[in-house]
Amino acid sequence: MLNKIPEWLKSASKDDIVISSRVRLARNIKGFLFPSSASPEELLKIYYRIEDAIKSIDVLNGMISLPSWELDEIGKKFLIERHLTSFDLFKKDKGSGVLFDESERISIMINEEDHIRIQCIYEDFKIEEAFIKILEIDDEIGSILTYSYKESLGFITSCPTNLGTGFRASVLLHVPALFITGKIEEVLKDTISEGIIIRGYYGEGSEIVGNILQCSTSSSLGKSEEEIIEDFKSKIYKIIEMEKKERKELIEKKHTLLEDKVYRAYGILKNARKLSSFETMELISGIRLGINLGIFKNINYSLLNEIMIFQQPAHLQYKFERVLNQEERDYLRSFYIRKKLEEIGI
Amino acid sequence: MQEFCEKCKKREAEIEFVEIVEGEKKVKKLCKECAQEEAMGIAKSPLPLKKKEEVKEENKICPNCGLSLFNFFKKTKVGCENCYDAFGDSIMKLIQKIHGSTIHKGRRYFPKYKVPREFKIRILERALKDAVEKEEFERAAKLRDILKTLKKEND
Repeated sequence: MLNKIPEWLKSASKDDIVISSRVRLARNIKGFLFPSSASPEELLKIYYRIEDAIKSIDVLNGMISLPSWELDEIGKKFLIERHLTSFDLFKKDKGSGVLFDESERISIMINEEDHIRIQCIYEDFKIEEAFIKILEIDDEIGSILTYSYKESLGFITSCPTNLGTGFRASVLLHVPALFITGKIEEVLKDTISEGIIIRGYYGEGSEIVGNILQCSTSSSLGKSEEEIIEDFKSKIYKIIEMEKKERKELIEKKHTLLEDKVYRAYGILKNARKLSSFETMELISGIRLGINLGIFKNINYSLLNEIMIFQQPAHLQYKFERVLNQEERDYLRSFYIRKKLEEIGI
Repeated sequence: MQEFCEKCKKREAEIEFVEIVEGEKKVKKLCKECAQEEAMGIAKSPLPLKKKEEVKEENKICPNCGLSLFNFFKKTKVGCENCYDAFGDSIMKLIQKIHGSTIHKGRRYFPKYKVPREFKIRILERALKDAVEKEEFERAAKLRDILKTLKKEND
């Protein structure tokens, strides 16, 4: 796992706008207090019950199980950087944890806000593929454990915002042209008023870096999962179209400006001796754009995604097998990226 | 034109009721009866000023997990599945505000439930149509494969 990149980042296609699609389901077990009210002993009891159930499912055979109390701080950050868990999972001392499959498409958090949070991530704009996969897992878990469910309110969740379907879809969108032309302000205003939630690269509470938006659905009750997906897709297509339009205009009218951004990003990544994670994400956005414009032919999105994953603080520390302070990290980050670019001959 | 009391919305507003809330002056137009009630409330209860019913509501406790409605509003998380029954209208109003609905329309659940194959096929066929339209041929090919397997299982 330490040297692998997750399937959803490896299989990236030619599309550089939609990086990935994610769906998640929130579920709780009937008859147990929710994580925010349960005692530590009760949390552990729930944890093992769910873990046992998941391990008994054939199609989920070989899931890696990591209880949070067995992880150190860097280990926790590593999982967050890989989008396998949220920050919130680690708020409790004991009784929470995560299970995920080898491809890292499926991850199941236990005792985060709800007893069970299943997520499925696919590359590109493949919400449907992710949705079908998650339904299969949900069927399996829901036939071994009895979910908390009411005919009127649907699946019962700890926070009323997730009631009903317990379903949320989200995408990571790379929209550099919207940021360059400033159209992003308009997009943010429109999408929020249309019921789309916008967050940063690491989801809730994180800032926007590298021209990447995390857009997700906001409502889970009163509509079917199918309707939520269709509605979400049509709104995301609108943002994609705007990004394409702005890009086309930039290419036609301000080509030099675009080229300059791309080559500057390349120049810094190739030569800098100190790089912060934030700056690296911004520069990677420039390279991503460069691939799309046909400037870089040897480099593909999957390789860029690999750099994006391994340049992160906890990943770097695993790679170099020791705890690093910020200064050391910034130096080793630039070293790692330089070597990687040399490897592929650009 | 006759103005109605802001509180009961039934009787005529006759009194301008002035209150200082957190250093800010607030003027309410009330009927005699409501004005009297408000004045009584202020005299009886120290800060914060809340209507009697509101205080009673907030003290509501879920008999299963012991969470009070007051603490629910603070945390915005319920303690157990029973909270949704225990807090009744107060929580339903919030759900309506969040989702614009209080009725579940998604997939239903009962133990041993399996999503019908027809449902999966419908979702994937729509995705296939999208993929073809957007000329994502690699994705389309993969979707066709999944659909083929799904349909075979159906026979």
